[in-house]
Amino acid sequence: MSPLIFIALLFLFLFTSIPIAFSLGLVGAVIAIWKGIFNPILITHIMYSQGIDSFPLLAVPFFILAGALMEEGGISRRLVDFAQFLVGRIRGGLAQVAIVTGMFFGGITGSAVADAAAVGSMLIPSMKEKNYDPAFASALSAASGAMGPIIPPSIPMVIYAVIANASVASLFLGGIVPGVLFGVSLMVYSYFYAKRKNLPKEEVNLTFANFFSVMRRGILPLLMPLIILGGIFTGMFTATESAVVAVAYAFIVSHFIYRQLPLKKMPKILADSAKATASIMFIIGMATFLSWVITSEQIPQQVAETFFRISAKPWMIIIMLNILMLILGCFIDPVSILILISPIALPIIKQIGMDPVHFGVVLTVNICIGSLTPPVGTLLFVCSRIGKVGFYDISKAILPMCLVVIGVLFLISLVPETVMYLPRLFAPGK
Amino acid sequence: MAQSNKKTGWGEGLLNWVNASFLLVMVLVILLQVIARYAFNHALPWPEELGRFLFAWIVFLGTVSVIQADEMLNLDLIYRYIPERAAAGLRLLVALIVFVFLLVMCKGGYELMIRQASQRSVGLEVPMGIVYFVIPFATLLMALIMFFRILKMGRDFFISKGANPEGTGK
Repeated sequence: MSPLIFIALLFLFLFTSIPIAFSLGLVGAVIAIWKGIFNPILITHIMYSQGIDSFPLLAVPFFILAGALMEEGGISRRLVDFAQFLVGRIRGGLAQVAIVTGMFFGGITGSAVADAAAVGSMLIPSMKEKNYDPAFASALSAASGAMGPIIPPSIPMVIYAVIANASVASLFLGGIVPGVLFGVSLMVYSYFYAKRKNLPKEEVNLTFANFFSVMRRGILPLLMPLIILGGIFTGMFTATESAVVAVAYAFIVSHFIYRQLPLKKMPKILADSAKATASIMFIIGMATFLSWVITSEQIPQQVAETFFRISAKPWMIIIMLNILMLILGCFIDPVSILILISPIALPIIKQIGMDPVHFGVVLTVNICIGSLTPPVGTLLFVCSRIGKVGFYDISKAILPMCLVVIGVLFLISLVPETVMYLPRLFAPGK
Repeated sequence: MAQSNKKTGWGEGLLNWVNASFLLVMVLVILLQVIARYAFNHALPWPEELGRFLFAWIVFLGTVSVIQADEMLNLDLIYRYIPERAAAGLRLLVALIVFVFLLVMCKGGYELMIRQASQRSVGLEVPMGIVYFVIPFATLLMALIMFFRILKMGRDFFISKGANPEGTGK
């Protein structure tokens, strides 16, 4: 069966509004029936044993829960204040604050949706008040949220580490520079945008005393990524254990120190986190089933052959892979792309000598951009709802930002040092 | 995590409680493992396994919640371009496809459970059938939810004949 039929089928199911998880499962089932290997037990068995039954994946609910607990503790305001102190005085200050807050949150949540929702609900109203274009404000919040999974901790990286058998620590370290580049490129874009529109600067009390007070208020949440990363790199914790330690830390900070998390709120936070976990993991399970079917039908080899027929130059291959993922990113959710592309791409990148860690980070940045591209951009949906902007308007406003960050994507794809410098520095064993 | 404003029924409430407590236990168990390893320098054999089992239960039971809340991620672009009557028909068709798929999964889950029923897990020594039970159980619940939704959609579609888009669109 040609890969084209498989893609056509997937798009047919997706466009007729069949939920993504079931679209993936149906394509798998149709191919399996066609090949005469279908059996109901195949779906559940592959889904369970290869998709869900994995200790490292327990980090997913833990990172979701840790982020939710932190947010409930009222860290948004604290992080915004800290960001305002740092970048508020730049022209278009609130836009800069949104981006920096997005980076801070990225170090806490690991989920783009949570990040975008936090930035959006804090800053879109203030930006509107200061006469920023609502579409720009909403699009910028979405783009700031997209940094969440690039800056460690990161849920997609945990999933990739399981599939590619790569080190989570190296992936997390590798995400730092691209995450910062992503943020800085957005800041540069916003600066020129603000200059053209003559947007205001923010008043900031630039005294030492104020610095200390802002710092003191914001330091506890910002320590969380350090605890996670430190625990993993020193080999004290596995990624899953560090995630559970992050949950405990977030609970202690929000409940005992900030006293903003009454215990009666816990059942709802836990239930919501369980539900958020389920909606990611059910898709992962289905995508794993489909991925198993296409692998057993040797589709990855066919795709690889096609790629190498077009060009054997490594940089061309990397660009083609990126473009393929970006196109998929317009229509499918990030996690599904991750699971479908990995088995196809891993043999290819091995052949061209690309480090799986490097590719994992590139993949993560790519699918994060995918969550910003219409017509299916999860973060656009979230932020257009918060900013009460039409989907068309936010899509138009996000376009130049997407181009800017796609530039960053190609930079980190083609210059491996941008990604690999930190992992090599800290993890000599790798 | 969009929350519907609907009043939660007892079924949903119960499900939320179960999911919340499973997640809580999962957190505590893995924390216990971390503490046991560092404070007592003694890795326990069972927390990791229990964590994995609870995780599987959360994934399937949580998906029941997701289906119940009608928050399954999908691409609903098409509804902007087709007339309402066609949209209602398409929603019905999609619900039917999901329903059938869930039944197939339920059957597969049941067979998996039977096949593994006598096996015992390595650490806790629980029969794996208990662990796998969640798959047929949860998919059956999902199928039931879809079944009642289909009945309602079918009634609206064939009887009232009018434009009455179901609460599926978001």
